[in-house]
Amino acid sequence: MSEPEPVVLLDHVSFSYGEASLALDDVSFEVAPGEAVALLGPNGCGKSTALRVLNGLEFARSGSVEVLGRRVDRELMSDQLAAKAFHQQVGFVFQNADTQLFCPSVGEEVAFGPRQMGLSETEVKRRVADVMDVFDIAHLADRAPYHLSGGERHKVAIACVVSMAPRLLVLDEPTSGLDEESEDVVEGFLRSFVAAGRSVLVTTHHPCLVDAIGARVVRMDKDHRVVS
Amino acid sequence: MADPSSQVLPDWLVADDAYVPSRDRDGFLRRNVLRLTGLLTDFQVGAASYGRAASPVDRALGAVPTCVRMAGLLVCLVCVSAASNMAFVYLMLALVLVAMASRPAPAIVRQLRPAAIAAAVSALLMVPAALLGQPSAPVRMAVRVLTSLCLVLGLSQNVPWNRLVAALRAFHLSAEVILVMDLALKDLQLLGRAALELTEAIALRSVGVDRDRTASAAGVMGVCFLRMHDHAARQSEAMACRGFTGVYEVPAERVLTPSAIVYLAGIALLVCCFCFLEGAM
Amino acid sequence: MHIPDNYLSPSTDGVMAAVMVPVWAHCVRVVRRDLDRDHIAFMGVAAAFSFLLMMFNVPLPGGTTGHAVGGTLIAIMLGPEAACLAVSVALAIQALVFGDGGILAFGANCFNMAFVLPFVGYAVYRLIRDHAPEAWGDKVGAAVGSYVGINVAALATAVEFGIQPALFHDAAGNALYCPYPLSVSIPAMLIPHLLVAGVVEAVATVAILSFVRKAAPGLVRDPAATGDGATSSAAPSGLRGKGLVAVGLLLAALVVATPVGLLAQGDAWGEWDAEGVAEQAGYVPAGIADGFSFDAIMPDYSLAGLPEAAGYVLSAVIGVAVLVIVFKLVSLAARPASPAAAA
Repeated sequence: MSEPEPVVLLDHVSFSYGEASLALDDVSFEVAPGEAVALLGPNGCGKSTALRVLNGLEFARSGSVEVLGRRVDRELMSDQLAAKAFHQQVGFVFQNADTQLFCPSVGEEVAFGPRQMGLSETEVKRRVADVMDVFDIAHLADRAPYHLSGGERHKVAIACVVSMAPRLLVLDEPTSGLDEESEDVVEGFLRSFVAAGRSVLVTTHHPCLVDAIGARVVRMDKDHRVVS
Repeated sequence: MADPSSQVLPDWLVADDAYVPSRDRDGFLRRNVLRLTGLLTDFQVGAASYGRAASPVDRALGAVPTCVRMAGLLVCLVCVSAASNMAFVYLMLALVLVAMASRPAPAIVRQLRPAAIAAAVSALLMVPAALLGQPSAPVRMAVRVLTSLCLVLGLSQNVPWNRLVAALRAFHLSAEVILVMDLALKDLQLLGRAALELTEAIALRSVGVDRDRTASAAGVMGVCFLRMHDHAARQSEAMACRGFTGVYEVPAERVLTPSAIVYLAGIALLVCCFCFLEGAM
Repeated sequence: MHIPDNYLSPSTDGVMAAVMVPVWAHCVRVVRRDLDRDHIAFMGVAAAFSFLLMMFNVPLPGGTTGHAVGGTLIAIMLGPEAACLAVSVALAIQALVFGDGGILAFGANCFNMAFVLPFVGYAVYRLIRDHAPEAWGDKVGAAVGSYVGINVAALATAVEFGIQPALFHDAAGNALYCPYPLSVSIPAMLIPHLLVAGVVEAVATVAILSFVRKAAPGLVRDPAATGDGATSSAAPSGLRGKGLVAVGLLLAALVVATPVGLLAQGDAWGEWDAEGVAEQAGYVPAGIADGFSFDAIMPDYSLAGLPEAAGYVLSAVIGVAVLVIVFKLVSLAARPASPAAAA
């Protein structure tokens, strides 16, 4: 039986911000279906940049990026329908949750994605209730995201993309700012998500997250290269 | 609450249905919001290239104190505007073109695009003069505008905004005004970045049809306002914690450095050329 | 060798322009394929050399003046297709900004100086270089190639001039455009170029080529290679830093020396204005008297109110800077230099 196609494939990718600021130097790694991978490395090594390139927010200067069997490049992102399908399949949560929440209440925030997908109100309500239950944020439904604590905002940000039922979750420092209980909730969810055959790619400074979700480690160094 | 260690995920989350998106006319809103917010982050361009200037001309000019450069720029602009002899304007144009040619291509585009557009618009405005018997009026105006704008952009795009503001101290602008300008420019940068990130977040989650587009745009602007309001309050607390009592000290730049003297000599030479050429008319 | 407006009939102008369109299209295709970003940006510097060489007028036998073009030089450095485009852009700036060479005659001027000259010159250069000993093949090839190139171009120009009286005349037999037949135009153009201008072209080509090869070898394309190998096989030095600075200094020196070109008195053969023609031919052909006219910003590289030499230097500075800027902007559309070359 042939090996399944990787969900994420970065092949000799290089990227720099402007002309002089190298952020990724010949980076290659992959994520298989049903696998969790953790990208580790010192501050400024390019972990967040790798995630941005993967999500089509930046475009690699050389090398290729393939996600879920499709090449992620300007052509894909300029095709409105293809880009929308891509973003539904790949749930990306930024490092700074502040920059991801823009609706008046948490409930509307989580409902935004399913509503965009054209689901019925009943289905939307069901999904919102399920996800808020999974992340233990049901009591925050009517609160404004802006007035939540940092850790609560982070959980809400993850819930917002999970409600779209993605096949791949890309999370930049998912447990930063979370208390122990919330950390357990997120880790438990990620374990179950992977066990159900989905894939997860995280960046983190916390080795305990790596152990908790059974992730394979890909390490980057300060020269913006993958070392293991 | 579900047991964190072994969660049973909802069936819709692990189903294998393929989602087929439908088209939506959201381009206009997203493009315009992005354009507006992108403009705000353009402040960073000059600062990012400063200190690593690839052009030998910019490296040399970078050694000249900013207040001296601003004074020199003002003199050049006055001479270009006042010159009745186009020879002086072409002389300044030649200098501007040489400086531009020494820069890398992206920097040339950044400088030339706004200047060329402004020159084209001014040439268009002067077309009636051409029809009324002054056929060279559009060209003369265009060349003046192009030269003036290239001179200004040559300074503003290659010197970080905080050095520009600090240089104003040499012109006896009050420290309070400089404080307000400093903070405002910094906050505009932060605002631009925040708005850009929020708009990216909307783009990532806009996977179908947005039934209430204005709500999304309003959300971005509302959150930006709240963040900046919050940020301003925290910033003033931080300044107080570091001993700020209302007096904003702007360290004065040493004005008469060797490079400043060479630069001022060059400006003086240009003024002499201006006088000579005006006299020759 | 710049043909002014109204010396060729509009139909001649049109035919020459039509011939150049597929040539330009082919050259754009080849340059896009073969040259990377750094070399396309260097085309601006090469075009600037050509522009400056055309400002150095030399006195020719017969009381006229002529100039070198440098088309073969660029062809050897970057390929004949790049030379065609570089010289074409330089000619365009000369025509539009400085009134040197006609607007309607642009196609004809490009045919002679941007197509015939570099392609013939390069072909002769390759013939000699590929069959002669390595010790002198390159230099001699460059000298002979550029000499032959400029003379063939002069011949082409002479033919374009010379056929006008026979093809376009009024009922009285007076020429409508250039009044000199082939029997006059060919010796008038060829002899000075064979004796003087061709020699100047050869000397300038060899001198500048040797300088660039020594100072910035990475900038010169290896003629044996084609496609990707052409520009990335050269030594990495020279594309950035010191090599380019040395070349820039040579350009600056040439700019400062341009007033030497003013010392040669008189117009080039075939570049007279209406009064000049009347003096030479005894009458002003109708096409020249009532033809198309264009007011350049700095006609004949001069500016009202500036001494002639200062105007000449200023024109040189503006021309060189504009050429460098234009090709730097064009290079943005090209593929980046290979990593080895950028080191």
